[in-house]
Amino acid sequence: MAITLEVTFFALIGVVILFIISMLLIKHLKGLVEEDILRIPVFVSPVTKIVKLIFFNIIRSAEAILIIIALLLISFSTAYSSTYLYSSTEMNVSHIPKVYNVLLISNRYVNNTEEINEDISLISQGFVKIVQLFNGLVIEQENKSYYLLPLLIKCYINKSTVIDIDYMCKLIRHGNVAIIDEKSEVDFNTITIKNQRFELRKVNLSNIANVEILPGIYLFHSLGIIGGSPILVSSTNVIIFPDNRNLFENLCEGGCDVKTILLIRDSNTSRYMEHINELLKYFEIVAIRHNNKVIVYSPNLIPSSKTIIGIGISLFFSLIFSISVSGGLAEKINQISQKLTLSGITHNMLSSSLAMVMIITFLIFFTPILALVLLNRVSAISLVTYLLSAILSTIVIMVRASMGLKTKGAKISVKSSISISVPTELNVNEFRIELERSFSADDFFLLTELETIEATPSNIEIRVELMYKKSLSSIITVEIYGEKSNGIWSYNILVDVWSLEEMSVHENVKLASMALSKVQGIVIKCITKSQ
Amino acid sequence: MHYKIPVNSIKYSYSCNGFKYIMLYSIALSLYLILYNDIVSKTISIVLSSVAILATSLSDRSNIIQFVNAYHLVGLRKKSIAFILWLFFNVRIVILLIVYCIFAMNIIISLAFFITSNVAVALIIFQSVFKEVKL
Repeated sequence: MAITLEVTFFALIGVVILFIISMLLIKHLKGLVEEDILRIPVFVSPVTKIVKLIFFNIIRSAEAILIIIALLLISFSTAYSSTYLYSSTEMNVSHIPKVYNVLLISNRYVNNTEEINEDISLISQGFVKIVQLFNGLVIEQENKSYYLLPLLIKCYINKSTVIDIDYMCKLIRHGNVAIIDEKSEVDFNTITIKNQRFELRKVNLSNIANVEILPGIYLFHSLGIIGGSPILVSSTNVIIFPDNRNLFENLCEGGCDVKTILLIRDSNTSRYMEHINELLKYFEIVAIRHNNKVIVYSPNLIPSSKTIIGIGISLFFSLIFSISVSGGLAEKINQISQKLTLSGITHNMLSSSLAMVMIITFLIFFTPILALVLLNRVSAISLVTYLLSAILSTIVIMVRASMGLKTKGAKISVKSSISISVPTELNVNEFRIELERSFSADDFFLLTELETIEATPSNIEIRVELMYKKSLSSIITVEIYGEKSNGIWSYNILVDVWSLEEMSVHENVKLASMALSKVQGIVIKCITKSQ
Repeated sequence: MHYKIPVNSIKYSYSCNGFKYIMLYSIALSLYLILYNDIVSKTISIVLSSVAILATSLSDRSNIIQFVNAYHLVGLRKKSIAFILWLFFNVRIVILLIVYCIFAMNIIISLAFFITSNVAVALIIFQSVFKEVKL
């Protein structure tokens, strides 16, 4: 399995490298072709363009690279910390007889104990293998049906502490012997399962029926737990067979629930501690007993206190990293946003685009973790940690960046008035034509009103009313006052923004500066023309 | 070089924001090292700590640029500025080194951290002093 996964992984890498090389070759060869096919112009929404712009600026920054490295490391460390080493639990088992030093439990049929033995070379001191089958064996006798649950036992042991198990081992060692409780009403001498014939012997099983090996787990089948107490199968409803693969397949035709229990008697438990990783490949539970305490290891995630504290620390780590890095990132975003706000992009649009970029960036780096989780290389907890840390980082960066955007906006002190002093007079008619021509194809403003008053030959007043196209009710009034003194004309241009919408100071200033720059340009154009 | 220059740079390192982040990080790191006392976790923590040193350099970016520019204007040699910057970052590294010495209780781990973080610092110094690239 592991080999095939590795082969797939390397094959994938190979495909990616080939793809990159072919793309580069195509790009190179494209230039050699005489006729390049012209690209059809595609209309892209401005938001997509903004997102693209911010994304490429962020992804290349050292801050983004650092935070991504930190998040990946944090998630991998959490994944490692939540492995079996840290998902172990300690139990007090003073009430449980000392039947074993090491207990292995699997929820499937473990046949290859010899293989495991060779693989791990640990289970050499002798052990008892018990297979609980939850597929009932129906025996009919004198119009009566008996429902018996099979228990397969195999002993590789010289001495057991539970005498009854030892006795059963001796009985079963002879091969074709099946054991039932002496109180059982089944009265056969032999029992045949498919082609295998077993001699039936009656033994007192009540002593070992209730032997608890771990809290809630017994030597005999337990069918469930009601009100905190387990429901155990009566010893009269159990039939014991010697374990072999053929018998198991016959008894469990079409599949059934199985539990394999290995009771190992070996005082040198440290050897098992060292090889827990290998043991957990075959078994769901590995329990190691030290006097009255049992440490239970499991490959499944048990939310132990260590794991939870570990996730907490990881989140704290990511918070520190995000705070320390967000300042630089916010600065970078502000640089881009200053340029974008001049072309009419609002603060809300920028912050939502930034959020989108952050989500996309974190999602891109989420895929390698997802792939590793799917390949069973790291535990699924890394996904949770990564997502939580990414959300936290996004929030921190967003808060810092939007704070920066707001303060930057308030700080901008763009003049909403300007004065021009020239020796020539502004031709009003020319100005009117130029103004109408200029605003007829403007993206942002619509010319709604134009008033001119020529009070005296040395005084001129022009009022221009513009409507901002991107909002519902924002009107910009531009007033131009011209005055001649000592042969010099001085023109004062004042801008005022009126809006029914709740616009921020930042947006108002930007709008005013946009209108002012436009009108100023027209005024200068007209003045230079008449010169 | 006057002795006050390195002393002041150490003082400056304390007053920058990055130092606060390193203090917070050291608390989290000590908890992490108490909980996970195995070689893989410690290795990850070493890399993470080096990244933290780099991250603090980014949070103090404007301060460092100002710092380097000021010393350039004063007429200090590049080597001296590099040494001062090394001191600036090693004040932070020492804090984390103490955490490693107390909680990791392994001289090799502490040494590995010192070397890795100093490689990161060398990268910052190279970029900001010798290549004169904005961090």
